[in-house]
Amino acid sequence: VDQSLHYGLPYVTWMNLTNQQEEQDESNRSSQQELLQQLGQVQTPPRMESRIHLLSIIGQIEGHTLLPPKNKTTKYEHIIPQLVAIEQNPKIKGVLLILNTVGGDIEAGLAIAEMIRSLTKPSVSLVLGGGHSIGLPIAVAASHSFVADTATITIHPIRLTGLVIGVPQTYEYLDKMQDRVISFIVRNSQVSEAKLRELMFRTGELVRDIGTVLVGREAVSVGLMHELGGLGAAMKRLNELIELKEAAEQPKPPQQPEVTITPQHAAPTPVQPVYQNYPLGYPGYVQPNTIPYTPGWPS
Amino acid sequence: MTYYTIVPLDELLADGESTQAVMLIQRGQITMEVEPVSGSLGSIRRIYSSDPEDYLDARWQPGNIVAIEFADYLPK
Repeated sequence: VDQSLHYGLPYVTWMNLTNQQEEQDESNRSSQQELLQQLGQVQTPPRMESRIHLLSIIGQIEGHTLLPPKNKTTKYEHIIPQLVAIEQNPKIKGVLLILNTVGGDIEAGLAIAEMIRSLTKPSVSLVLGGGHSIGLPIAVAASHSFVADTATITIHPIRLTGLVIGVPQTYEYLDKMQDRVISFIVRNSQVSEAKLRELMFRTGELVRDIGTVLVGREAVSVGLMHELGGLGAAMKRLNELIELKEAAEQPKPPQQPEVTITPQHAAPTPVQPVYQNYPLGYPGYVQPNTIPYTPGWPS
Repeated sequence: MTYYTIVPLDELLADGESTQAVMLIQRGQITMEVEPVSGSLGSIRRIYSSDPEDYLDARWQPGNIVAIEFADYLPK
Protein backbone atom coordinates (compact mmCIF):
# COMPACT_ATOMS: atom_id res chain seq x y z
CA VAL A 1 0.00 0.00 0.00
CA ASP A 2 1.36 3.35 -0.93
CA GLN A 3 1.75 5.15 2.37
CA SER A 4 1.63 8.54 0.64
CA LEU A 5 -2.09 8.13 -0.23
CA HIS A 6 -3.41 8.43 3.31
CA TYR A 7 -4.37 12.07 2.80
CA GLY A 8 -3.34 12.76 6.36
CA LEU A 9 -5.86 10.27 7.75
CA PRO A 10 -4.86 7.49 10.14
CA TYR A 11 -4.16 4.30 8.17
CA VAL A 12 -7.13 2.34 9.68
CA THR A 13 -9.65 5.12 8.85
CA TRP A 14 -8.31 5.36 5.33
CA MET A 15 -8.63 1.59 4.85
CA ASN A 16 -12.23 1.64 6.14
CA LEU A 17 -13.12 4.43 3.76
CA THR A 18 -11.70 2.64 0.74
CA ASN A 19 -13.41 -0.60 1.74
CA GLN A 20 -16.75 1.17 2.07
CA GLN A 21 -16.31 2.67 -1.37
CA GLU A 22 -15.52 -0.73 -2.85
CA GLU A 23 -18.56 -2.28 -1.19
CA GLN A 24 -20.77 0.48 -2.53
CA ASP A 25 -19.39 0.01 -6.05
CA GLU A 26 -19.96 -3.72 -5.73
CA SER A 27 -23.60 -3.33 -4.62
CA ASN A 28 -24.28 -0.80 -7.39
CA ARG A 29 -22.82 -3.17 -9.93
CA SER A 30 -24.92 -6.11 -8.68
CA SER A 31 -28.16 -4.07 -8.61
CA GLN A 32 -27.45 -2.90 -12.13
CA GLN A 33 -26.83 -6.48 -13.18
CA GLU A 34 -30.13 -7.42 -11.58
CA LEU A 35 -31.93 -4.66 -13.47
CA LEU A 36 -30.30 -5.76 -16.70
CA GLN A 37 -31.36 -9.34 -16.12
CA GLN A 38 -34.92 -8.47 -15.16
CA LEU A 39 -35.71 -5.64 -17.50
CA GLY A 40 -33.10 -5.75 -20.24
CA GLN A 41 -31.98 -2.23 -19.37
CA VAL A 42 -29.80 -0.59 -16.78
CA GLN A 43 -31.48 2.76 -16.32
CA THR A 44 -34.93 3.09 -14.88
CA PRO A 45 -37.02 6.17 -15.65
CA PRO A 46 -37.13 8.86 -12.96
CA ARG A 47 -40.21 8.68 -10.80
CA MET A 48 -42.43 11.36 -9.45
CA GLU A 49 -43.31 10.84 -5.81
CA SER A 50 -47.07 10.78 -5.51
CA ARG A 51 -48.57 11.84 -2.19
CA ILE A 52 -51.93 10.40 -3.17
CA HIS A 53 -52.26 6.68 -3.59
CA LEU A 54 -54.99 4.88 -5.43
CA LEU A 55 -57.00 1.75 -4.77
CA SER A 56 -59.24 0.45 -7.48
CA ILE A 57 -62.01 -1.87 -6.34
CA ILE A 58 -63.25 -3.65 -9.42
CA GLY A 59 -65.32 -6.69 -10.31
CA GLN A 60 -66.18 -9.12 -7.54
CA ILE A 61 -64.79 -8.68 -4.06
CA GLU A 62 -63.22 -12.02 -3.29
CA GLY A 63 -63.09 -13.38 0.23
CA HIS A 64 -62.49 -16.81 1.68
CA THR A 65 -63.40 -18.74 -1.43
CA LEU A 66 -61.58 -18.42 -4.72
CA LEU A 67 -64.16 -17.52 -7.33
CA PRO A 68 -64.20 -19.28 -10.70
CA PRO A 69 -61.52 -17.82 -13.00
CA LYS A 70 -63.96 -16.07 -15.34
CA ASN A 71 -64.73 -13.58 -12.57
CA LYS A 72 -62.65 -10.46 -12.39
CA THR A 73 -61.89 -9.98 -8.73
CA THR A 74 -60.49 -7.62 -6.16
CA LYS A 75 -58.71 -9.72 -3.62
CA TYR A 76 -58.79 -9.07 0.08
CA GLU A 77 -55.17 -10.16 0.50
CA HIS A 78 -54.02 -7.53 -2.00
CA ILE A 79 -56.04 -4.61 -0.66
CA ILE A 80 -55.45 -5.01 3.07
CA PRO A 81 -51.60 -4.95 2.96
CA GLN A 82 -51.76 -1.93 0.64
CA LEU A 83 -53.95 -0.11 3.15
CA VAL A 84 -51.51 -0.95 5.95
CA ALA A 85 -48.62 0.34 3.83
CA ILE A 86 -50.54 3.54 3.05
CA GLU A 87 -51.26 4.11 6.73
CA GLN A 88 -47.61 3.59 7.67
CA ASN A 89 -45.85 5.52 4.91
CA PRO A 90 -45.39 9.16 5.98
CA LYS A 91 -44.97 10.25 2.35
CA ILE A 92 -48.51 9.13 1.49
CA LYS A 93 -50.99 11.80 2.52
CA GLY A 94 -54.28 10.50 1.16
CA VAL A 95 -56.07 7.69 -0.65
CA LEU A 96 -58.38 7.81 -3.62
CA LEU A 97 -60.74 4.85 -3.98
CA ILE A 98 -62.17 4.13 -7.39
CA LEU A 99 -65.11 1.76 -7.26
CA ASN A 100 -66.67 -0.14 -10.08
CA THR A 101 -67.86 -3.29 -8.41
CA VAL A 102 -70.78 -5.69 -8.51
CA GLY A 103 -70.36 -6.68 -4.87
CA GLY A 104 -69.02 -9.92 -3.50
CA ASP A 105 -68.10 -11.57 -0.25
CA ILE A 106 -69.69 -9.80 2.68
CA GLU A 107 -66.89 -10.46 5.18
CA ALA A 108 -64.11 -9.33 2.85
CA GLY A 109 -66.12 -6.28 1.79
CA LEU A 110 -66.83 -5.22 5.36
CA ALA A 111 -63.18 -5.83 6.30
CA ILE A 112 -62.00 -3.50 3.52
CA ALA A 113 -64.65 -0.94 4.50
CA GLU A 114 -63.60 -0.99 8.15
CA MET A 115 -59.93 -0.61 7.18
CA ILE A 116 -60.73 2.44 5.04
CA ARG A 117 -62.93 3.96 7.73
CA SER A 118 -60.23 3.59 10.36
CA LEU A 119 -57.43 5.12 8.25
CA THR A 120 -56.01 8.23 9.89
CA LYS A 121 -55.32 9.71 6.45
CA PRO A 122 -58.01 11.37 4.36
CA SER A 123 -59.75 9.14 1.85
CA VAL A 124 -62.11 9.99 -0.98
CA SER A 125 -64.20 7.44 -2.84
CA LEU A 126 -65.50 7.78 -6.35
CA VAL A 127 -68.17 5.42 -7.65
CA LEU A 128 -67.97 5.07 -11.42
CA GLY A 129 -70.11 2.68 -13.40
CA GLY A 130 -71.48 0.78 -10.46
CA GLY A 131 -70.98 0.45 -6.75
CA HIS A 132 -73.44 -2.28 -5.99
CA SER A 133 -74.23 -4.32 -2.90
CA ILE A 134 -71.10 -4.62 -0.72
CA GLY A 135 -69.48 -1.85 -2.80
CA LEU A 136 -71.74 0.62 -0.99
CA PRO A 137 -70.25 0.15 2.51
CA ILE A 138 -66.79 0.57 0.94
CA ALA A 139 -67.89 3.77 -0.80
CA VAL A 140 -69.39 5.32 2.32
CA ALA A 141 -66.38 4.31 4.47
CA ALA A 142 -64.23 7.04 2.91
CA SER A 143 -64.01 10.50 4.48
CA HIS A 144 -65.84 11.94 1.48
CA SER A 145 -67.76 10.09 -1.21
CA PHE A 146 -68.46 11.01 -4.80
CA VAL A 147 -70.71 9.34 -7.31
CA ALA A 148 -70.58 9.91 -11.03
CA ASP A 149 -73.74 11.20 -12.67
CA THR A 150 -74.23 7.96 -14.59
CA ALA A 151 -73.09 5.53 -11.91
CA THR A 152 -75.60 3.18 -10.33
CA ILE A 153 -75.84 1.81 -6.82
CA THR A 154 -78.01 -1.24 -6.23
CA ILE A 155 -79.28 -1.80 -2.72
CA HIS A 156 -80.78 -5.22 -2.09
CA PRO A 157 -80.88 -7.96 0.58
CA ILE A 158 -77.94 -10.34 1.04
CA ARG A 159 -77.95 -13.96 -0.10
CA LEU A 160 -76.71 -17.17 1.43
CA THR A 161 -75.10 -20.09 -0.37
CA GLY A 162 -74.61 -23.66 0.72
CA LEU A 163 -76.92 -25.70 2.87
CA VAL A 164 -79.85 -23.64 4.03
CA ILE A 165 -82.03 -25.22 6.67
CA GLY A 166 -85.65 -24.17 6.49
CA VAL A 167 -86.06 -23.07 10.09
CA PRO A 168 -86.84 -19.66 11.58
CA GLN A 169 -83.26 -19.46 12.90
CA THR A 170 -82.01 -19.24 9.31
CA TYR A 171 -84.02 -16.09 8.84
CA GLU A 172 -82.73 -14.67 12.10
CA TYR A 173 -79.15 -15.38 11.02
CA LEU A 174 -79.72 -13.68 7.67
CA ASP A 175 -81.30 -10.73 9.41
CA LYS A 176 -78.25 -10.41 11.66
CA MET A 177 -75.93 -10.45 8.65
CA GLN A 178 -78.15 -7.88 6.98
CA ASP A 179 -77.98 -5.64 10.03
CA ARG A 180 -74.16 -5.58 9.89
CA VAL A 181 -74.32 -3.99 6.47
CA ILE A 182 -77.20 -1.65 7.29
CA SER A 183 -75.66 -0.38 10.52
CA PHE A 184 -72.31 0.26 8.82
CA ILE A 185 -73.92 2.29 6.04
CA VAL A 186 -76.11 4.25 8.47
CA ARG A 187 -73.14 5.06 10.73
CA ASN A 188 -71.02 6.32 7.86
CA SER A 189 -73.48 8.22 5.71
CA GLN A 190 -76.36 10.65 6.05
CA VAL A 191 -79.10 8.14 5.23
CA SER A 192 -81.56 7.12 7.96
CA GLU A 193 -82.01 3.47 8.84
CA ALA A 194 -85.71 3.54 7.99
CA LYS A 195 -85.00 5.01 4.56
CA LEU A 196 -82.24 2.47 3.83
CA ARG A 197 -84.46 -0.45 4.84
CA GLU A 198 -87.26 0.93 2.69
CA LEU A 199 -84.88 1.12 -0.31
CA MET A 200 -83.52 -2.35 0.37
CA PHE A 201 -86.84 -4.13 0.61
CA ARG A 202 -88.72 -2.22 -2.05
CA THR A 203 -90.50 -4.40 -4.59
CA GLY A 204 -91.19 -3.73 -8.24
CA GLU A 205 -87.90 -2.05 -9.15
CA LEU A 206 -85.59 -4.99 -9.81
CA VAL A 207 -86.50 -7.79 -12.16
CA ARG A 208 -85.01 -10.76 -10.31
CA ASP A 209 -84.67 -9.33 -6.85
CA ILE A 210 -86.15 -6.90 -4.39
CA GLY A 211 -84.37 -3.62 -3.76
CA THR A 212 -83.64 -0.36 -5.51
CA VAL A 213 -81.29 0.97 -8.15
CA LEU A 214 -80.11 4.50 -7.42
CA VAL A 215 -78.62 6.46 -10.28
CA GLY A 216 -76.06 9.21 -9.52
CA ARG A 217 -77.93 12.11 -8.02
CA GLU A 218 -80.56 9.86 -6.39
CA ALA A 219 -77.82 8.39 -4.21
CA VAL A 220 -76.85 11.93 -3.18
CA SER A 221 -80.45 13.01 -2.52
CA VAL A 222 -81.17 10.09 -0.16
CA GLY A 223 -77.97 10.92 1.71
CA LEU A 224 -75.87 7.88 0.83
CA MET A 225 -73.16 9.78 -1.04
CA HIS A 226 -71.82 13.23 -0.26
CA GLU A 227 -71.57 14.70 -3.74
CA LEU A 228 -72.05 14.20 -7.43
CA GLY A 229 -68.76 14.46 -9.27
CA GLY A 230 -65.90 12.94 -11.17
CA LEU A 231 -62.16 12.57 -10.94
CA GLY A 232 -61.36 16.28 -10.84
CA ALA A 233 -63.79 17.02 -8.03
CA ALA A 234 -62.61 13.97 -6.08
CA MET A 235 -58.94 14.97 -6.35
CA LYS A 236 -59.73 18.55 -5.41
CA ARG A 237 -61.65 17.43 -2.32
CA LEU A 238 -58.88 15.01 -1.35
CA ASN A 239 -56.26 17.76 -1.59
CA GLU A 240 -58.48 20.01 0.53
CA LEU A 241 -58.85 17.29 3.17
CA ILE A 242 -55.07 16.73 3.18
CA GLU A 243 -54.45 20.44 3.66
CA LEU A 244 -57.03 20.63 6.45
CA LYS A 245 -55.38 17.71 8.21
CA GLU A 246 -51.92 19.21 7.81
CA ALA A 247 -53.13 22.56 9.14
CA ALA A 248 -54.68 20.84 12.16
CA GLU A 249 -51.42 18.99 12.82
CA GLN A 250 -49.23 22.11 12.67
CA PRO A 251 -47.85 22.89 16.12
CA LYS A 252 -49.58 26.01 17.37
CA PRO A 253 -47.36 28.93 18.48
CA PRO A 254 -47.30 29.24 22.27
CA GLN A 255 -49.95 31.72 23.25
CA GLN A 256 -49.02 34.67 25.43
CA PRO A 257 -50.95 34.61 28.68
CA GLU A 258 -53.55 37.30 28.62
CA VAL A 259 -52.77 40.10 31.11
CA THR A 260 -55.43 42.46 32.30
CA ILE A 261 -53.93 45.83 33.09
CA THR A 262 -54.78 46.89 36.57
CA PRO A 263 -53.82 50.33 37.98
CA GLN A 264 -50.88 48.68 39.78
CA HIS A 265 -49.54 47.16 36.53
CA ALA A 266 -50.15 50.18 34.37
CA ALA A 267 -47.12 52.16 33.28
CA PRO A 268 -46.62 55.22 35.46
CA THR A 269 -47.74 58.43 33.83
CA PRO A 270 -44.65 60.24 32.52
CA VAL A 271 -43.49 63.07 34.71
CA GLN A 272 -43.94 66.30 32.85
CA PRO A 273 -40.85 68.50 33.19
CA VAL A 274 -41.57 71.70 34.98
CA TYR A 275 -40.36 74.20 32.40
CA GLN A 276 -40.01 76.93 34.97
CA ASN A 277 -37.12 74.93 36.48
CA TYR A 278 -35.16 75.07 33.23
CA PRO A 279 -33.87 78.43 32.20
CA LEU A 280 -33.61 77.28 28.58
CA GLY A 281 -37.22 76.29 28.45
CA TYR A 282 -36.29 72.67 27.83
CA PRO A 283 -33.67 70.49 29.45
CA GLY A 284 -30.46 70.52 27.46
CA TYR A 285 -31.72 72.73 24.67
CA VAL A 286 -29.35 75.49 23.73
CA GLN A 287 -29.91 77.73 20.79
CA PRO A 288 -26.58 78.95 19.46
CA ASN A 289 -25.79 82.64 19.66
CA THR A 290 -28.88 83.46 21.59
CA ILE A 291 -29.22 84.75 25.06
CA PRO A 292 -31.33 82.25 26.83
CA TYR A 293 -34.56 83.72 28.09
CA THR A 294 -34.94 83.35 31.76
CA PRO A 295 -38.13 84.62 33.22
CA GLY A 296 -37.39 87.38 35.60
CA TRP A 297 -33.69 87.74 34.56
CA PRO A 298 -32.26 90.28 33.95
CA SER A 299 -35.03 92.68 34.68
CA MET B 1 -70.78 -18.33 2.49
CA THR B 2 -72.64 -15.07 2.45
CA TYR B 3 -72.53 -13.11 -0.76
CA TYR B 4 -73.75 -9.60 -1.28
CA THR B 5 -73.63 -9.08 -4.99
CA ILE B 6 -75.97 -8.26 -7.83
CA VAL B 7 -74.60 -11.13 -9.91
CA PRO B 8 -76.95 -14.13 -9.62
CA LEU B 9 -75.31 -16.86 -7.59
CA ASP B 10 -75.71 -19.56 -10.25
CA GLU B 11 -73.85 -17.30 -12.65
CA LEU B 12 -71.25 -16.26 -10.08
CA LEU B 13 -70.30 -19.76 -9.04
CA ALA B 14 -70.63 -21.49 -12.41
CA ASP B 15 -67.36 -22.87 -13.77
CA GLY B 16 -66.53 -21.10 -16.95
CA GLU B 17 -64.10 -22.28 -19.58
CA SER B 18 -60.75 -22.73 -17.89
CA THR B 19 -58.43 -19.90 -18.65
CA GLN B 20 -54.69 -20.21 -18.90
CA ALA B 21 -52.73 -20.35 -15.70
CA VAL B 22 -51.70 -17.02 -14.30
CA MET B 23 -48.65 -16.46 -12.14
CA LEU B 24 -48.20 -13.80 -9.52
CA ILE B 25 -44.68 -12.38 -9.51
CA GLN B 26 -43.09 -9.62 -7.52
CA ARG B 27 -40.94 -6.87 -9.03
CA GLY B 28 -39.85 -4.39 -6.40
CA GLN B 29 -42.98 -3.04 -4.73
CA ILE B 30 -45.29 -4.25 -7.47
CA THR B 31 -47.12 -7.54 -7.56
CA MET B 32 -48.05 -8.48 -11.11
CA GLU B 33 -50.22 -11.08 -12.70
CA VAL B 34 -48.40 -12.59 -15.67
CA GLU B 35 -49.47 -15.20 -18.15
CA PRO B 36 -46.51 -17.43 -19.02
CA VAL B 37 -45.81 -17.41 -22.74
CA SER B 38 -42.76 -19.61 -22.45
CA GLY B 39 -40.78 -21.08 -19.60
CA SER B 40 -38.91 -17.88 -18.92
CA LEU B 41 -41.13 -15.16 -20.34
CA GLY B 42 -44.51 -13.90 -19.25
CA SER B 43 -47.00 -11.37 -20.55
CA ILE B 44 -48.28 -8.89 -17.98
CA ARG B 45 -52.01 -9.01 -17.41
CA ARG B 46 -52.45 -6.73 -14.48
CA ILE B 47 -50.38 -5.08 -11.79
CA TYR B 48 -51.32 -4.54 -8.18
CA SER B 49 -50.00 -1.36 -6.67
CA SER B 50 -51.47 1.58 -4.84
CA ASP B 51 -48.92 3.99 -6.30
CA PRO B 52 -50.45 5.61 -9.41
CA GLU B 53 -46.93 6.19 -10.77
CA ASP B 54 -46.48 2.45 -11.25
CA TYR B 55 -49.31 2.46 -13.77
CA LEU B 56 -47.52 5.12 -15.84
CA ASP B 57 -44.34 3.08 -16.04
CA ALA B 58 -43.96 1.89 -19.61
CA ARG B 59 -42.31 -1.34 -18.51
CA TRP B 60 -45.38 -2.54 -16.63
CA GLN B 61 -48.05 -1.93 -19.23
CA PRO B 62 -50.43 -4.86 -19.77
CA GLY B 63 -49.20 -7.10 -22.55
CA ASN B 64 -45.53 -6.34 -21.97
CA ILE B 65 -43.17 -9.25 -21.69
CA VAL B 66 -41.21 -9.75 -18.48
CA ALA B 67 -38.62 -12.34 -17.63
CA ILE B 68 -39.82 -15.02 -15.24
CA GLU B 69 -37.05 -16.15 -12.98
CA PHE B 70 -36.46 -19.40 -11.21
CA ALA B 71 -37.32 -17.71 -7.90
CA ASP B 72 -40.79 -16.84 -9.22
CA TYR B 73 -41.64 -20.52 -9.49
CA LEU B 74 -40.76 -21.17 -5.87
CA PRO B 75 -43.63 -21.17 -3.38
CA LYS B 76 -43.84 -17.82 -1.60
